[in-house]
Amino acid sequence: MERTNFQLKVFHTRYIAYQDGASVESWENFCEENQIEIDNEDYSFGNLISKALFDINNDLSIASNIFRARENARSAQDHINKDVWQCLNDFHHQMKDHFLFNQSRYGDPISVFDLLVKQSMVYYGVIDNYVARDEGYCFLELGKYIERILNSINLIRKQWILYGEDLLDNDYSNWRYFLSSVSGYDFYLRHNLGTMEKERIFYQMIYEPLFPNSITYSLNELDKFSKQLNSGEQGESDETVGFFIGKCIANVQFTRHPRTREEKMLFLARIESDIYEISNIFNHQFFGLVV
Amino acid sequence: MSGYPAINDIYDEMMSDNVVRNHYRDFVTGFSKFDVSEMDQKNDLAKKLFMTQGITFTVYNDGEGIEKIFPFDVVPRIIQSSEWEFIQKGIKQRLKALNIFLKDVYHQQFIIKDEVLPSSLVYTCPNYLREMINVDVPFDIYTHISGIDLIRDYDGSYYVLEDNLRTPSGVSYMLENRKMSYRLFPNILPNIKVKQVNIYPDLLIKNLLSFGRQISAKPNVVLLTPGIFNSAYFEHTTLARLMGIELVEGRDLVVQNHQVYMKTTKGLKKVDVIYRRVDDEFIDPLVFRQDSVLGVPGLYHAYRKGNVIIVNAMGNGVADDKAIYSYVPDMIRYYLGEEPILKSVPTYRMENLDERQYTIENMHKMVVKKTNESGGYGMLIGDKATDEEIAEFTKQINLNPRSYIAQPIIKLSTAPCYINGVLQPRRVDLRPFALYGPDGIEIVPGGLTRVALKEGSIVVNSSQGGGSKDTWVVD
Repeated sequence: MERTNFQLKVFHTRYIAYQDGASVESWENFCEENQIEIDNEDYSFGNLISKALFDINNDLSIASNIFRARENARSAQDHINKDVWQCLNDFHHQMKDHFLFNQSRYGDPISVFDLLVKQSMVYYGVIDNYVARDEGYCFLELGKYIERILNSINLIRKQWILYGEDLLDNDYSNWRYFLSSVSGYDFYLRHNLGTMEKERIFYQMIYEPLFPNSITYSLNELDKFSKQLNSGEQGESDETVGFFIGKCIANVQFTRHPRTREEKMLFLARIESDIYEISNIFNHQFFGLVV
Repeated sequence: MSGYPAINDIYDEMMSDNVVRNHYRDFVTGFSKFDVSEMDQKNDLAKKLFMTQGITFTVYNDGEGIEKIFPFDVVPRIIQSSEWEFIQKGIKQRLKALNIFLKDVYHQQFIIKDEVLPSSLVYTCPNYLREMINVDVPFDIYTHISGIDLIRDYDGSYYVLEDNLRTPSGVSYMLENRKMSYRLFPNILPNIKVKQVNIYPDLLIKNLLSFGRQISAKPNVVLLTPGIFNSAYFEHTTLARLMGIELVEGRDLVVQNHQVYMKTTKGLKKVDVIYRRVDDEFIDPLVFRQDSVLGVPGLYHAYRKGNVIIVNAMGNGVADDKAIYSYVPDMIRYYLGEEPILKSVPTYRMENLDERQYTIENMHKMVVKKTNESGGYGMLIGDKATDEEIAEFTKQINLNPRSYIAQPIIKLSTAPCYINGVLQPRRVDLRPFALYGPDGIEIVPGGLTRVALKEGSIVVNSSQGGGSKDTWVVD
């Protein structure tokens, strides 16, 4: 669900950037990234968006995400409450709504994005307000923040590959869209009044502890929920997870702000590798998966 | 387009001799693909979105607030970039002259001494603030933000109808109208390469910070609003959010030792720049209206001492006074030594006996306006007025001639509007927004096109049944 929410925001912003005439990304690239197969060379935006959202045969589409989330919820109905199930079920049926499909294909895709983002917010609201703070909740949150970090890393990486080295570029509109896609534009403006600088944006995305889509914020949340999970353990508590999360936090916190694009890529790769390591430890420790 | 009923002897933005103008062609090609039901859907969607997104203004009646949307017409007004260049040049020239005039009229008053402008006109202007005499403003800029209202006559030539140099509003509608356009006509905007208007907040904050750096290395900028009951409150919140600055009301600010502070949960925080949307007379109850609760006591003296920058400067009303308007072409010649690029509408001043006589005799051919009113209030349109209304205006003019001016009725140009399922011509004006900063004057390519939605009407003001449409500048 985190990926769904993230993708919806990114698609939404990308669409607006295109309408503003500010996007330099090719649609071939968009298709490749989202594994969209195009018939008859129809690269119209309606076709691409409707496929990215509603194509159930595409593993990366929003519809597939929701379908899998609903299947998961169905198999764990005894651990979640009725509200969560109802919310996911509604979302699933929304994704099968032909009107929405047609609206994204031939009408106003922003209305569709608005509706789906709203449904996603309802999901977060239900989780936040109605789910018991037990082990299941901790896993939900851990999964959410792991996913958020990985998505953020991908987005940052792509942004810096596309626009990061253009030192003479005074047109910051692409950075504005980038920040908007992680709901960070207002936050950025508040903290960096009138100054649009790539390094400050990088700082916000990685180090800013008060920005909910920063790597640091997500790592802190991972730490919090892993501790909560451990504190509920009856037997001997295992510090392995805590160690790896702490290591990753230290790696982020005590690494000098990487300046060049290459340094940034290496830095991001290291965080990504740490996150996969943390994920593997969780799989091994709580679900007995061999890693 | 064959059935589009263009009006004879009126310049139409889209059609010329039953042929679509070049710069409208691409749009018309895209537009023609929609049938009536699709257009009706778009119309309904626009109304719904304006309401659900809170893009409204509030009208108070019997103590009750009614949320209203500023009617939006889905068909954009399109301007060629070559024409835009001309408009831009004309506005820059005009603003330069008006700005020098403000500096002059509050300092040495050369324009009065050289008898280019009668002193009586300045001193009888209710918006001329004696408190601003000899007050120095940073970079000598008074008109930081302005909206110049332009109209076209039957031959297509542009005229300046009004200069708005105090707290011009409408820029948020320009921004929201653009967002609405790409929702209603996906892909058309990038295809015909419409120039962007969303740079406005960036340009504005850049200027505000540049002014603020005169006072502090890291200036604190706030937007001062009269509060939620102001009809333009939506615009105030939008601009504050888009610039990342605090939105404050008068009660949030306090003056101590001629320094302005903002009250925060962590104590007082110094304020360096105030983008105010509160009128001059309400801004400081110690100096101006004593009953004002919208302003900040002591603000004027902090401003006078140069401890805070107020944008726009106080006292600008003297430059956009409707009687002084008729002297702007002379100001351009006097201060810049240039011929005015944009024409002004011929204006008759009622304190001049001959002109008053002529106006009263030809009232049915005139628009009579009160010099200190705006928004379409205090106005008489001669050919639509009843005999009683004309008699009442005549009486008022004779009683207080300085408060009135008259202009011949201009045949405002028309632009196509989607009304009742068909395209119909309606009268329009154009308000481009100009920002005057230390680096010069910048104008975002577009503006607010206001439209008189009532058939036959030439009043475009929102308070008088007007609406708006998006303005596209294209190559």
